[in-house]
Amino acid sequence: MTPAVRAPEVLLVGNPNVGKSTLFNALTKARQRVVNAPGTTVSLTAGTWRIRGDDVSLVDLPGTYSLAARCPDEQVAAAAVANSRHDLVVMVLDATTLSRSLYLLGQVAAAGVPVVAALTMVDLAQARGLRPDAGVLSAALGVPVVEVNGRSGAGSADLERAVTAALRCPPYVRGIEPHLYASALPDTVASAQHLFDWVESVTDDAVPTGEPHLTLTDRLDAVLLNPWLGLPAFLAVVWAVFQLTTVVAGPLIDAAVRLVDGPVASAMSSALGELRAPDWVVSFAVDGVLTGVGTVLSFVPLMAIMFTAVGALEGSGYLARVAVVADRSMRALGLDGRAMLPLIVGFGCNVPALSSTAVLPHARQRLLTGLLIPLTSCTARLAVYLLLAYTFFPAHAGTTVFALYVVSVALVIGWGLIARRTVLREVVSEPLILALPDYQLPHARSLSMSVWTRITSFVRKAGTIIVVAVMAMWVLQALPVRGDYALADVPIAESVYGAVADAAAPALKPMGLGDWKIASALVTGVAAKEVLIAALAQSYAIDAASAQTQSTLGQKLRATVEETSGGHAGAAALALMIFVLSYMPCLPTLAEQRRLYGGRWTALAASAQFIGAYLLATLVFQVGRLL
Amino acid sequence: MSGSFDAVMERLATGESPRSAARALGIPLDLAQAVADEAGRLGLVVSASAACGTCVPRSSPACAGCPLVYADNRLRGR
Repeated sequence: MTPAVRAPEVLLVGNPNVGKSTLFNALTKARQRVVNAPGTTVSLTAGTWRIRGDDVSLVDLPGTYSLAARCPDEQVAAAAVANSRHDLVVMVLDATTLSRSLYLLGQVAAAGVPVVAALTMVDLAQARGLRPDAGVLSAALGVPVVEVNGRSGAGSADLERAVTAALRCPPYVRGIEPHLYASALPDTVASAQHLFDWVESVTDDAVPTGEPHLTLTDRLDAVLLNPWLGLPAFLAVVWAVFQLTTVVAGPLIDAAVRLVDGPVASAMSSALGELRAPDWVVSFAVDGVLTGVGTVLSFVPLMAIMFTAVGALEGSGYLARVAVVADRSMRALGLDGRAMLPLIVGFGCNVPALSSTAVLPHARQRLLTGLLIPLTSCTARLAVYLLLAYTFFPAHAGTTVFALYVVSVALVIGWGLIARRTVLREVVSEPLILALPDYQLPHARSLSMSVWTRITSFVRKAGTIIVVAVMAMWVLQALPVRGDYALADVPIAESVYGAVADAAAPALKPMGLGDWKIASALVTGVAAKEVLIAALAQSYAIDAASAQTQSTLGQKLRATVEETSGGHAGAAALALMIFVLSYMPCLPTLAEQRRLYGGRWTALAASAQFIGAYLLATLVFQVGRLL
Repeated sequence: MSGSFDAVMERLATGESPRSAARALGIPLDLAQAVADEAGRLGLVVSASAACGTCVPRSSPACAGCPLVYADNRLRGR
């Protein structure tokens, strides 16, 4: 019996999008099958390449830029190259990005594998004046280099000849010592340095040098990354975003509030009346759920504009520059540069920002950053600022909100410095090194998807957490605590809710805010900051005295603060905004902090934050009322 | 040998993009990009998309646990 002769196995290796699969199809034609890579769910295409009557097994590996894999597809490619079963690698080199291709070739060669190089995209490289000289390249590499075009089939015969010869007499890349890496693929900085030096020496010989020219990215970065201009430019951009948002969104919010308070509330009351619903059901549905949730949802237009503006900045590549600019400032203050990314995430939402501290290498850095994240002003707080800014500073709403973000950054820096000089002295500063993308126009589809996802998340929150909080508040407001009142027919001041809020209100007097509705809203705002608005709206809707007036939530709130502050409503409003900014993280943030850092650190940070917010807000009001 | 890896890394550390570094060093852009990519794989460089940015969902493993990722997945029917 004649033993079966194994067909030689050849791997097709290359960077993504270099024409590797096109070449594979041209070589194997219809003789292909899809298989799973051993032990994985990654699909590979294998085929039979018929060369002058002999079959060669050709495997199209997933494209990768490096054998230092960071995803399953790349892991499969790296494992296949390291596997000694194959006889040859056909390395597909992209002539337009030859250095990247050569780096991968160097890693393949370091694994001790014989190689034939197929040079693709030659026509494109020629059009750019960067066509490599295949002969010089082959001489520099010490292996055959064949120009091929998978679409036209040009060069296929030359490649067949080169592969046939290579299977008889395997060629190895010159300048790379396989034995150094034969047992372990390069994964160290030293081997990367060595390989890049080798790549540069090869391209110096084989590729014409292009004339460097200043691009738009270079010109913009000259200003936006300038050590002196970068920070003011960033502040100007943020201010412009808030101005745009508040100017455009103001009328939309007004219209939404009037719609909810007017026709929608009337329609719901009428519908429930026709259904002969009990009074308490009408009260719960209209004064509770509709008022609370409706008020929060009226901020959807504003959020959409805000998310679009931030998404556009992100998609353009600018926000990555902000991290670099801020990193310089933070390092100047002795804080760790790499903490910038989680802190920037915190301005979107504190919870994922805490998760993203995982990118920091040291536990103490993660702890310090995680404790500072609640001081970054998330978008939930933005809705509260806007309500207050429109109410108390209508002509300067955008500037007021911008100032609160500046205060937020100042608090992060201040608390960071305090923590580093007290409980976290041993944190070591390390720089942030960021691979900046080029500037580009934001992609409309990605931007719209991003805005849609954030808006639906905001609405989902309004429909779940806020409804639950509103229901809980309504129940507490329906329970009498004194007097001879029936359930759900009690003045709010005589309810459990009113009694607790009344007890808490005097504590806010030093800030000029000694009112039970504000006190109760701040307490319920711990569940989620948007709830604060819903709680205020609900309290004013249920409170008999307030409900009889036709004024808006803002007008009612202004009247209250005018009274509690002794005529210094502006100072009290500023104090309230600063208190909201930093008095307490929301419950999901506290839960995540406790999970990551334990109960003691979480309690310590929350207590310190609360005391600091109380003192700062009191200071703002007391100073403000003197001015 | 000119030490392109170290040279590009020094430029990135001062806040330059790979493109700026390539132009300043007179090396091919794709070489600078390859250095940035490999340095990211070795944990020396953070890619701009490695964290959530400003919380764009699904952008990285750092977003695990983010409620927005959950919402995004629901939108995509996963």
